[in-house]
Amino acid sequence: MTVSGARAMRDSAPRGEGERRDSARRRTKWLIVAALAVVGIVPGFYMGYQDGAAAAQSRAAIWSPTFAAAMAGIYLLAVIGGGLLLSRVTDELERLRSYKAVSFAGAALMLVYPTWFLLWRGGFVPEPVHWMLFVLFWLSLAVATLWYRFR
Amino acid sequence: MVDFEGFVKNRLKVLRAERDWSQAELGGRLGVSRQAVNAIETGKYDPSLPLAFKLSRLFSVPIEEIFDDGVGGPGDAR
Repeated sequence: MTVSGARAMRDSAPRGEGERRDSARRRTKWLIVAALAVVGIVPGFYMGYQDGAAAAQSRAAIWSPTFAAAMAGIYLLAVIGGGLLLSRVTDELERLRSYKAVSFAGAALMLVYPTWFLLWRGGFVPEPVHWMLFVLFWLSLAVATLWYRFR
Repeated sequence: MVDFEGFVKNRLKVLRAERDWSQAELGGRLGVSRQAVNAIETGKYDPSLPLAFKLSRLFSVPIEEIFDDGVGGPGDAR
């Protein structure tokens, strides 16, 4: 190991009790986020694969009720359970930023969906697409989160 | 003079430097992130009352010696 490498390791290593607690807190937080990502990505890819395979055969994918209920259960468990776990390692500044980001995403949804619905009823635009609204919410949430975090 | 930005000034950076603590060290002792300590020190975020009391206990100084809203004593708060 080089001298600069050893110095970098020493400088990045926790020095006191507070830094050890801070490292543990960050590690726990990232573990929860990683677990949630896996829970989201694996079923997401599987559902995408099912839909893609069905589309290749020019038919709509039909899910069994058991599969649909299982997916809904996984989603609810991940969002509620993940939220509760994350709230234990979230400090007051992160919580405030989360509130602001969710408010922003909610406002975006409140503006876009009714407008889109009313314009659709007037025959100006196609019917609102539910997954686009869902994606809009998450994109707004991501943008607002990054904005409040790095501005 | 009242700070019209809405944030109070604080001596957190000085108190932390006196103890040779990093922001992460202070954050760990308070149970908040390094970013929260940085935001408080740079005046971008005012801590909650419970966190202000934690800081007061940790540094063994009254809250008024850490934070200053620029208004004055209790009798001046009107």
